Amino acid sequence: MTGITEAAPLLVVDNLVVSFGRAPRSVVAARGVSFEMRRQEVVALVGESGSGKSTTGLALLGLVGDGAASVEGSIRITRKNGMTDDVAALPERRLRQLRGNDVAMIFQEPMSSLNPIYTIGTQIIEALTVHRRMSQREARGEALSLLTQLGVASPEKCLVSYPHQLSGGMRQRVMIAMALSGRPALLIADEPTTALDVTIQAQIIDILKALQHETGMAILFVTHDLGLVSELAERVLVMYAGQIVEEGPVDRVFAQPRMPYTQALMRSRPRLGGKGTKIEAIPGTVPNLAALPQGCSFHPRCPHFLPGRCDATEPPLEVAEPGWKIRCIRWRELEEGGL
Amino acid sequence: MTAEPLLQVRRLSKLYDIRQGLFSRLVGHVRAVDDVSFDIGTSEVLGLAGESGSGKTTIGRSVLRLVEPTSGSIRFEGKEVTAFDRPQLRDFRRSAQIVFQDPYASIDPTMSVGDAIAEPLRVQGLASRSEIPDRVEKLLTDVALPADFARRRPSDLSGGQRQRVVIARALAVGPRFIVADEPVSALDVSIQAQIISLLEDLKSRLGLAMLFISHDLAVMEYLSDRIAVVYLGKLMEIGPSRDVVATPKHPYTEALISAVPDPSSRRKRIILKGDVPSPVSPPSGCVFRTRCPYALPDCAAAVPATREVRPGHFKACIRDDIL
Repeated sequence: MTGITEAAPLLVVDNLVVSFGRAPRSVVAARGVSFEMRRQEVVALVGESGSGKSTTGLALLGLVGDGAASVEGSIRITRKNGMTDDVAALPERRLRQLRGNDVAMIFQEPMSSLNPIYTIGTQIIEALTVHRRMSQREARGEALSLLTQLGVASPEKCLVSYPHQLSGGMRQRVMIAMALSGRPALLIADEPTTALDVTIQAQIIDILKALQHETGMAILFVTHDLGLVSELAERVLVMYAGQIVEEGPVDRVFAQPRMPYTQALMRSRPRLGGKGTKIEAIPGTVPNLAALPQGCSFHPRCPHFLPGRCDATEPPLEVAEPGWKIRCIRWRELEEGGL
Repeated sequence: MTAEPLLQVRRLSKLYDIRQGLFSRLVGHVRAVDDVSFDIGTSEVLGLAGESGSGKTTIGRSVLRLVEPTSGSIRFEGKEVTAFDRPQLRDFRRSAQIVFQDPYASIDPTMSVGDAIAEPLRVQGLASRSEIPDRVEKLLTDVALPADFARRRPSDLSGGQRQRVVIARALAVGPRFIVADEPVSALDVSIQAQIISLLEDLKSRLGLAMLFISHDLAVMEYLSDRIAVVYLGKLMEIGPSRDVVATPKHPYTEALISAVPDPSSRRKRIILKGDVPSPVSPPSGCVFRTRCPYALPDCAAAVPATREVRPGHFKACIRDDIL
């Protein structure tokens, strides 16, 4: 591992393959995922269940490599000390230094991520003493300031509460406070607002935006909710059946998606205020990862499926223009044909 | 509405007792639903929107008497549902059915799909043994599943297919009214649209009336003729879907709509402060006033009356100068 200059990307994922179980019955959850993230960048990783988005997120923290799964490819992270490490190759001891300090993660259900028998204070203070080597006293002060920053109205009361005494929105704030305790350069947020009501979701998204602005940490926002993506991210990666199928700037991808799956997904969502406009359902179901279709994995559901071509070879992720990639062998002819 | 509505709910309330201590002393009530009134016409879909703890699920279950209302009147086709005895209630279940959120929990995993769909027909005595296979096939066709699914096990089915089976089962008795409680929330985005289209199709083809309960306002607007918004057990606003979404008249509805993330528009966002208060001790006066950006001292004084602000569009808010 070599030291690297300022311009180096924060994260380079190269041909990540994560499979569970033993061949030939293994399930490949991530099939050659490659992408980069710059410092301070907010990127959304979008997909349905089984698309491999959560697996990819977990792999960035070295959280899938244990026993049951195998991880191939590389996940290079430029650490705070300027060194670059490959998460996929690090031993557990070194991973533990990386987690929390360089990369942190928040999950969908904060209740299952917090320890029910310790107070919030104990848990945040523990994180601070471990990651920042603070004394109890310093850590308490920092915990209070973190909670205040996260819009917790009475942080002292929050510190002496147990997780079950807090609302879902409060618990998620506590999780974010803990994730931020090590001042990570990259936060992986896996559906952090999915279990919350919309008005609370709006609060949390607002806080994440503000924090990102203040601290400059990069965020990989893993979600199934297309609407949320546009609220937060600059760039979007769309996953389907374990692969990235489209990558580009959020505004433009949403205005004019170019991969048929992204197009179909956008047309299948009713829009608020759009009464009267028809939605078009995508036929069929997300493919079973243990029995993927030949060729393009979206072809059985694709309106532009061409027998003999789409089901013959797996399409590569092609660069359509700088910053925009599409996984479809027909994208050019579809655009030229005005489809 | 000129004709008598299919379902008429008046002043519905549901209180749950809170008991404590050795002798289960009554120490208070949870006001899950508090004085809610609305109508649903034949073939009409009423959307019921609200966050968790708003009472929307309790309202849905109360109108079918799956939970016993504490007070209020529920009339279905002119008959008082709250007064039904057991045989009458059983007859009522032929007219009114429910579809739940989680299709995994709604079907007995040991039954075949065909048996699961046929069960209500047997229980209600609506088909003889020889008629059942044909009826099941017809119902599978209604929900766009192949006839050979009757022999399959629920475990072979995807979430979307299961939800179709749950809907087929609800349709088996030939109901005129269905309570659909978050029927697409547990499904993947690409599958949600399939179920939404199916519900839309059933509404127009079978003339089904529906109480569509959801936290997803975009889905609700798409499917519903009218929308009712509830907060802390109280009705805040009710009116035609398009109007409620485009020009909400209640501050809570306004905030709720502004909080919906939308990939294509940049609407003004209103971020509400704090959490929903406890339904054990709801705020006095208007229950929303503690989070309302427009609250005045007067809002604490009395529970605001529900007033018609446009034909068919009602709100429970004392301020007319804001929205």
